[in-house]
Amino acid sequence: MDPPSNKGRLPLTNVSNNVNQRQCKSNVPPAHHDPLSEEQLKYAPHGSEEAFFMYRKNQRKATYGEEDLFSLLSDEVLLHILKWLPKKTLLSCGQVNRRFNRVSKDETLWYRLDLSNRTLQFDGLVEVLSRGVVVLRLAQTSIVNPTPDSNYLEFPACIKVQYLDLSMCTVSVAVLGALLANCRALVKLSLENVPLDGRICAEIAENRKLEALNLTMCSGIDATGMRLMAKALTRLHSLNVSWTSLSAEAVQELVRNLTPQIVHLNLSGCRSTLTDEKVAVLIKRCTKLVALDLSDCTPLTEAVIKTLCKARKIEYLSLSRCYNIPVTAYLNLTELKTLRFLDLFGLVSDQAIATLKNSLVDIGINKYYHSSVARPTVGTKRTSIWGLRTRD
Amino acid sequence: MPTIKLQSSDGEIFDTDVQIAKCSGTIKTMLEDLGMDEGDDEVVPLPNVNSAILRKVLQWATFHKDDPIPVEDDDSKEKRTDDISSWDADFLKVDQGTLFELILAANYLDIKGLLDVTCKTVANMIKGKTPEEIRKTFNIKNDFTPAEEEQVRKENEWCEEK
Repeated sequence: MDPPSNKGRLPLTNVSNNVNQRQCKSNVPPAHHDPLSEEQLKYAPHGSEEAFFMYRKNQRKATYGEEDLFSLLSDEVLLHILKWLPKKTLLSCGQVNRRFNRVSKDETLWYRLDLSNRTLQFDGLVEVLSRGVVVLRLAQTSIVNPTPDSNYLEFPACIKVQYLDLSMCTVSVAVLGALLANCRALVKLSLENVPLDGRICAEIAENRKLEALNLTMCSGIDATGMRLMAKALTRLHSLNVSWTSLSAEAVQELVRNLTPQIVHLNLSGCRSTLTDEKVAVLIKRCTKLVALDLSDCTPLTEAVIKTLCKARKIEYLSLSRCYNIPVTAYLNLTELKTLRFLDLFGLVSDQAIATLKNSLVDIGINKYYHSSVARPTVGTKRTSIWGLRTRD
Repeated sequence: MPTIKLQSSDGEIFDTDVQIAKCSGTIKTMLEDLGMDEGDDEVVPLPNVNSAILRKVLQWATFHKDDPIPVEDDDSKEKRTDDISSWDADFLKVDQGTLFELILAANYLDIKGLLDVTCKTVANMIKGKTPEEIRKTFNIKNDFTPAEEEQVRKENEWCEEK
């Protein structure tokens, strides 16, 4: 049996709790019998199709003026029916009549929504957000720019979305900026491979509850934007700014201002801008780091290994393709007692890897090809974001 | 097996196992709050349920009496409507009027399992239908003005597959 719903405590928003009056009468109205029930069919005249249809017609006429059966149900019970419907049918229900329209918009029905891989009209995005969606997946969705006759760039004042996946989404900087300007409740956000600008960075920074932020492969993150985000987002737990073409200044702002609360950090792909000195600043500041990805940060040298050995909690470390670190330097990682996994892809020969495996006992080498830092969909669960379902 | 008497709106008395009657949250609370003890010859009046429907409800409760105690809605669990057991499906092969009265009774009596399965059955009758088909299926009147209808069409048709 299914866990029945908590009907008494449904956080009803726009529906009334008033039970329909007819339900409260001491006598429930008699059952509305299906005009074609077996019993009745048995007594219906046979052999004549015309008679059959006549019979139906009369029945329809007799019940025509009556209320439909849904009018017996309270809004609460109607909601209990609608909650079992897929979103597409819910949209049909919104067009049945005024009452269905009102109840079908109840925000408990729109808590989670997956509109990935679709073309979404601007007005549609506004509609979805105004229904109070909290978990929203728009990965690889094309958001169509507003037409001049729609409410240009007008979003609901207070957007409730907390988990927003816009990975690989096609969205203009103007629309994204306007959207994020009204988002203040975000807890986890992914903008993977989406073009950003300074204003968008500033709006992200205003979401003070952010715990996970995935900006991998984004463009448009400048030093000012980085400073705003690093300073303001004090609850950040996971940050992925890999391959974002950060300037030396932007990297500087990050390592100087990033919250000491950070646990997972991916800084890979800073091919000319992340230096040993900056890693030293970071490690000194962010003592709670457990996972750190510095792959493809070519300027790093042997000195970074010494710095990393001072870290207290690092369990996962990636230094793939850091060509300026000599292979022998990795042997010193035995001093990093917390280390469990080390990725060194594309760097050393199989023979050298074998030697490292012998020396670095208890450390798994080259186990993870892809970074999972702050990313919404990893592994096989493709319709969950950060472990939260997006479909009912 | 201790029994209690349930009285339907039309006055019929149903001698019922206490265990089965307590499948209804409403009756369970009534017995506990009013201190009605098993063995008392008191009658529990159920003014919102007629005898035909109460008979069906008790039939359902008897079949499901050994089901595990339903837990609160688990938000992490997917909402499925294709998991109605064959016994329940057969049990709910009734006309629309009876189905809706069972929903009202399950809601009034607070029988979560029955409320869920009846609501799922109605949901399955709605699923995949157009607005006009839904109106026809349930004899629902369209009370939108033409302007409103255009407005709700817009607010509900915004998502195309790529």
